[in-house]
Amino acid sequence: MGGFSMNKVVIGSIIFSLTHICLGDDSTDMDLMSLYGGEEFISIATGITQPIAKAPAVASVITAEEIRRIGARDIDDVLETIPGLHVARDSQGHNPIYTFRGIYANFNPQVLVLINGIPITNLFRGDRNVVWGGMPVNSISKIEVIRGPGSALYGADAFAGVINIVTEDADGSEKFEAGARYGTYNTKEYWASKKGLIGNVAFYASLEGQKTDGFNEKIGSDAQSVLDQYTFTNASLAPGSVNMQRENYDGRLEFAYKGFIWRAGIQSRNNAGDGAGVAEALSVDNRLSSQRVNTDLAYENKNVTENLSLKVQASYLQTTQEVDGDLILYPAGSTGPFFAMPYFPSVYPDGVIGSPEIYERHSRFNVSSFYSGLDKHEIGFGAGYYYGDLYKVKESKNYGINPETFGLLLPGDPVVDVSDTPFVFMTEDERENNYVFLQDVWHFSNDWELTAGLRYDHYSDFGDTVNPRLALVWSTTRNLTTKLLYGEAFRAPSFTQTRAINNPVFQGNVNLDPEELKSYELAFDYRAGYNLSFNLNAFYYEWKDIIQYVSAPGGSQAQNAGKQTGHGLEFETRWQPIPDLELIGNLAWQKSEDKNTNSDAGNAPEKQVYVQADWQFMPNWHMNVQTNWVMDRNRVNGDARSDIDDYAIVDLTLRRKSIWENVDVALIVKNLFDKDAREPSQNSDLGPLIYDDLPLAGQSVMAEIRYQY
Amino acid sequence: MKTRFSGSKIHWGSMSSRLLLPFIIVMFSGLSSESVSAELMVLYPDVKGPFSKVFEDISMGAKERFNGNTTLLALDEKDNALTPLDAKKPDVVLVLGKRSLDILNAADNHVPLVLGAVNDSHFAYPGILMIPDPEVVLDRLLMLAPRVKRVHVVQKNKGEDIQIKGASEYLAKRGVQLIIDHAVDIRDAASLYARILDNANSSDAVWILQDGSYVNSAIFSLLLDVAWSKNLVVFSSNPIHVKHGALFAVYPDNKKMGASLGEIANQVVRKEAESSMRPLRDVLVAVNERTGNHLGISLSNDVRGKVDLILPAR
Repeated sequence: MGGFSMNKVVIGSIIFSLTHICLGDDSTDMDLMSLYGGEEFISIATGITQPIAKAPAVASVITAEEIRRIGARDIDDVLETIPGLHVARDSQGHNPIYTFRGIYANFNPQVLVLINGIPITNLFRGDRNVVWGGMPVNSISKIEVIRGPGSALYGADAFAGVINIVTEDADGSEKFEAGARYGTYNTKEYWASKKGLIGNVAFYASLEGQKTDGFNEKIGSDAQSVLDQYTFTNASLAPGSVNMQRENYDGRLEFAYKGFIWRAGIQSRNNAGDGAGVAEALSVDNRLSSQRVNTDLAYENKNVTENLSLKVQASYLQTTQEVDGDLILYPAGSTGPFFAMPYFPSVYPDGVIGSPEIYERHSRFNVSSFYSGLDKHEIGFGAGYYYGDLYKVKESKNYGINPETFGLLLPGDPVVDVSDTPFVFMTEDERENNYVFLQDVWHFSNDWELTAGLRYDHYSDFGDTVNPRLALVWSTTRNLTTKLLYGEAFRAPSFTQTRAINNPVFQGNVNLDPEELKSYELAFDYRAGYNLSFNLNAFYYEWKDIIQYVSAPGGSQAQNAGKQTGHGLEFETRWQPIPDLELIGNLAWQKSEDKNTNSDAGNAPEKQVYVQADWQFMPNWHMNVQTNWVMDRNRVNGDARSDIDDYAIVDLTLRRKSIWENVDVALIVKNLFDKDAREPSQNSDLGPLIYDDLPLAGQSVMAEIRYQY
Repeated sequence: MKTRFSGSKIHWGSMSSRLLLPFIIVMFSGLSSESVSAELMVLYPDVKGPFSKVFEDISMGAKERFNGNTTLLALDEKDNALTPLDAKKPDVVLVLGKRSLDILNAADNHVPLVLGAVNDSHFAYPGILMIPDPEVVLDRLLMLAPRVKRVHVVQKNKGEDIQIKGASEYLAKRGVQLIIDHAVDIRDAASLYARILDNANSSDAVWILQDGSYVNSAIFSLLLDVAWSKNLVVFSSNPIHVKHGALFAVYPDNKKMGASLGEIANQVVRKEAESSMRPLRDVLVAVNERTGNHLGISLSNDVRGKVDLILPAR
């Protein structure tokens, strides 16, 4: 780009081809639009929204407006739209498996999910709770997603990716919103939120509720179908519907005064079905619940001195996994997986029952500070402490050893409580973690910035780990930014992997090391014009010490046995050809390999394409259409099934704004063409227990009404 | 800018407001019979968010500064402003936005008024334009980029333009030259920008006026490309340009501007106000960090303290 020469052809073309900034319109809106240059900036200038600062990483930020546009009702609806991230499903409760770049495991502990920057990871499985039950989006202001590792900043489990859910905050503005939805599967949703000021204290409060029968797509066979073949029983409930009903309540409260913010939240999950079964065997009556409460107090001072900022935060999270009544692992008439034992072929008249309950507490304290007193450097440092306590394990069951008689529980015996005995499914335990981190953002030249970070973690149960990251960001041209990224990450072994006992199939291993990941990324961000942008990145990762169950005396045992590598590309574009139309598209391709078997890692899609069109076709009328193609999901090594079918799901949202004063209405159709879409079920030594994979919801229609002022 | 809008907002067109009106009149007339303080009525257009926040902030600023009682009134297009004026009998009306002014003028109003949130300098009322005072803009330029020695501006029309009035003299005092070119149309403007950029070096700056200086998105893109390669400063009175790569822009500090309008209302009550619109001096500054880095403009904490919004680098 040397000199500037605009010949007449160029001048002519720019004059006739362009979007003009609107001027001269009499309406007040247009006066302000011309003054501020657009609605987006009015929101920023008036403090309604904050400009988005992205980490030096491959990151996406989805705002409340974008969430609303696509008719999203759960965070999973939003996360599926992000390139390189696919939401697969686990058979237990249909729980989400946030699959970044081919990194797939059925409990999904390789992804760190934060709510307002605070981890919600559970100790038991390293996931977000066995009875997760989804998370509604009505009180979310934005979702930030980092693809790739982030342990240098976030510590454990910021491994394949980081998802930070940011709720609406007490910013001092006045706002009220209430809404409701009703639709397919007898689904009822409602929400209300209010923010404002009480004296000098800003507040925000919200309440959301959902009650649904859940979708009722069927699986053709299940684990009991396999058992039935071996034991000549006929107990399986397959073909049958997955068990997806639930009743959820979410509440959030926040008060802000000067630099202090106090927050509290509750996520209550009740009457939740178990999806395709806890042991991959269908049952009709299983009901689970989970009560999760959290609170945190933060103090932030951006100007402790002229160059020093400080943030201090203490947080507490309590979670439960509870069973309402008995949890039937295998249905009535089953022998359970004990058919090789001497009492074969007796059957359990009420089914094989095992009701595990888990209660956890998590306390955190962090201090972080940023110092900008050195020329061209911004230095960040911090330290923190975490105490996690899996303080109560309860279990009642009708198999295994009776703790009162020390004899075997036989089919027909009653359910006994084995809590606080050596025969419970895992031991209660605690974990402590101390950490320090240091980061320097160095503007070493006008267009170059190097971020270097290092975090040291000490864990009471598995020792030390040090994780660095480097990010080189180059403003290559006015339109192009190039990023070169390197990061390392670790994933803490979950308690079920270290402390599971008395499980007839899997045993824990207290000597496990954390899983480790090294990742390399090259990313380009190109702004082709006012309304057209492209992002492209390439990545390569090495994942080692993967915790897998390998054959050992007395059953399978968790060991750091696996190794996987992967590489791929992600591309995304946004284009607003006319003010009333926005097009978003992305494409992700990845290839991951299990290095132990030199075969495809499997399960995750190798290709994914997403297209969205958002169109205001008449004043106050909006239509949003999105299509998500999920392609090329290989089976894991040893799974003889043919590859799972690709699918494309189309969603449609039609919204009429201001149908009455301050009232919007919408019609949301998910899976418009009622496509039979499935996510892979797991393989096992006996072959896949659910042969025809896990179904996703068919067509659903929801009507929405929303009032706000 | 975290403010609360707590004024008594009345939607005059709604039936419930009509029913409430007698009560309001009785309530306020009771108060005014006991009070000798002045009455300000703020009329602003009833628009949706985020636009409404602009008017709410201005209104709050005015209410806090005005010496007396203030009533806020959101008008929709069908409203008749005369009814509330007759009911309330304010000493002065603060009118925000051209639409509110049109409604008021259609109502044969005789109450003295103060005008705000308009960008047409031809109105002969006491008030404040949404057009920033050139001195304020250029002061921010020299704070951020003291190396600038020449400022180029393409003006739409010859003749006095409030957007650059007094700019030459202000810059001359600081040892900086203002070079003004006039363009009759967009083609003319494109040629002028080409000539300016061909001869520019890193001590030149290009100023895009609020009405765009004939800059559309394509001209602006080309302008920014050359500015990037030649390390020129491009600045604007339109914040959207900052998002796309201009170094900085100013935009209204609505609460402070509201306070200034409240002060003018005080002057009207004292019969000291001049019947002319003055340019906006209560401004905030938005800076593009990526462009700043490229130009080697270090956003030191001292400078950051004077910048209200930093659009972060990607």
